Amino acid sequence: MKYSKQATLDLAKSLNKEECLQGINQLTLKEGSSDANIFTDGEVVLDMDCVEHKFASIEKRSPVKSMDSAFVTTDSTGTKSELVMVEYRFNYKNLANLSRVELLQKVAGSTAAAQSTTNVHPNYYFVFNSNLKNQAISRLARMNPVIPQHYKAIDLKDIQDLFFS
Amino acid sequence: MSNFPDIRILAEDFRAVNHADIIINGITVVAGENGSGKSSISKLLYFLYRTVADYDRIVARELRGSLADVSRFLEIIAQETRYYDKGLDFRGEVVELRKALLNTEDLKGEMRRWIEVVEQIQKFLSATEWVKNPDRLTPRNSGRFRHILGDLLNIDYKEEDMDESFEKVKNIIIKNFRKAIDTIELRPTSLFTEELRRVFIEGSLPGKFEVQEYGDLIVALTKKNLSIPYSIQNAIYLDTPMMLHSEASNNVHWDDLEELLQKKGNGNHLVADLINSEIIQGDVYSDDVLYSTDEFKFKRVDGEVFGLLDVATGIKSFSILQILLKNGTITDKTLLILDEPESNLHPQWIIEYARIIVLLNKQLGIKFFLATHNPDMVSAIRYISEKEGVLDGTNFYLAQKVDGKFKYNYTFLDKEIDPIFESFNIALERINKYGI
Repeated sequence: MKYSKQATLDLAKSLNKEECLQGINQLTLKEGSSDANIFTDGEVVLDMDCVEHKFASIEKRSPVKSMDSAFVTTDSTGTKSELVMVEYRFNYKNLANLSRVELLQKVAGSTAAAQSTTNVHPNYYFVFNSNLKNQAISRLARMNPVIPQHYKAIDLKDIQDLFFS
Repeated sequence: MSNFPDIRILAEDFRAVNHADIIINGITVVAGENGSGKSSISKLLYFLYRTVADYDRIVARELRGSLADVSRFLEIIAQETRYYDKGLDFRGEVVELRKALLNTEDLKGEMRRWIEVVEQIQKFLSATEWVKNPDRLTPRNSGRFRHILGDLLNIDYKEEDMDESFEKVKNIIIKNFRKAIDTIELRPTSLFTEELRRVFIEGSLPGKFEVQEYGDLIVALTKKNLSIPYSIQNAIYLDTPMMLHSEASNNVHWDDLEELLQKKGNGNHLVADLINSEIIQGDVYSDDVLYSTDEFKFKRVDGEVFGLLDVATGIKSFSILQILLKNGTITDKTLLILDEPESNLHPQWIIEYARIIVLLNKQLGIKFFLATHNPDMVSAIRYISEKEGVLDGTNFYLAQKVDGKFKYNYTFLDKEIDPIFESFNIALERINKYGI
């Protein structure tokens, strides 16, 4: 399953949140990544904070925590699709303050925001700077109570290799 | 300030170590799997600084060893002569001769004292009253005396050789003292390599071993002489606090540590107080005269007193630091070599131990060489160092296996610890593999 720009655009359209589409390079830069432009220009993702805020405004409630971004992947035939949720944690403070409750809330919030429009990918990705990735894996694994194994700490290069290459 | 590191160590082809180029500017952390040579480097460092920083004392100790038969001979004679003349007692002087060797800075003066004592004994034995009583058993005609002297001089002793034999005893003394005096002046590297051969009984010496201080080579196995170090003047090797239970061990570093712990002194120390108040909730102390480490007491903040050997192992780990700080052994010129200090500590205390390491480096300038397997220790050293402003002097290394060999290269990571975690995380993969 690889990233599909068209399927991601279609999802935004079906949610009526096209204004929440953003270039992945711009979004990761805004979130504090030091690796600029590692994705191809024009590759867009959904800014899930934006999506959640819009829904909260419409539903007249406070926004809940959500993952930072989401994009759709499809298989080679284009018949199967999945929504991949990604959260960015690019500096040490974000690693140091990793909270199990917050991670669970973010996943729950984003899943709700996606409104079952498509299948959600079984793994939730937490992206760290490359020099913090293994520390993050260690911290996630040692959280108590244990964090589900499908919460994955990775870096941007891994995201690119998994879904964009 | 120079751009050169305080200390740079290059070791190659030594046990599991293929190549290690390691800087010690403040806190140096090395990580790596079991058998990657961390302890070998720790011990190389320890025995190097034990030799170069304590050079005169080691030479004096060797001199004392080489004169052991002579001093035993003199003691026996001194004992025997006392039977024949109660007013005459050389024993105190002989014992003093031996003791003084370890504390003197004037070996030439000590050599003169040894010769004087021998001459006094020789003069006494040559006195006419012995000759006048040929039938009486005396040191001069005792078979035992003759045998010992013969053994000492490696000759078949005959009574008439006595004066000549004493000259030979004096020559043994002079020869050994001169050798020691020359050794101190020349500081040959061989003293260090001999020490290494004693410690690492199996295997050969490193293919390469060099130490630079501020960019200048001060030690090399290819160099004839050892320079006098400045930035590190004593090294302490701490591995397990179980050494406190060891009365006599084959571990030189345990015996050395026991000696250091017994050093007198009970000064106030900020970090020792912090260990007391914030970590182990108690203080270690001893009575004025201390003959062994089992006499240390641990007084808890509620006033309860325990023998130090009876308290939790983690408390012992911190108590050792407390004692060494309070008795003034640890100074700004100390290299503390810590071999897996986390072994006996609860995770919470691992972080506290790391904090103490950072504070000792920050406040006293103590240098650390730390071998560890523990993610919390690595993480705590990294981020507490940054918080306390000593990250510049903190460096991390990872032992990485050379393909297809049981040899390791030590990779300089600077301040990056993630590669260390990558190796630690293999354990997590194994849990996932073997677990539910």
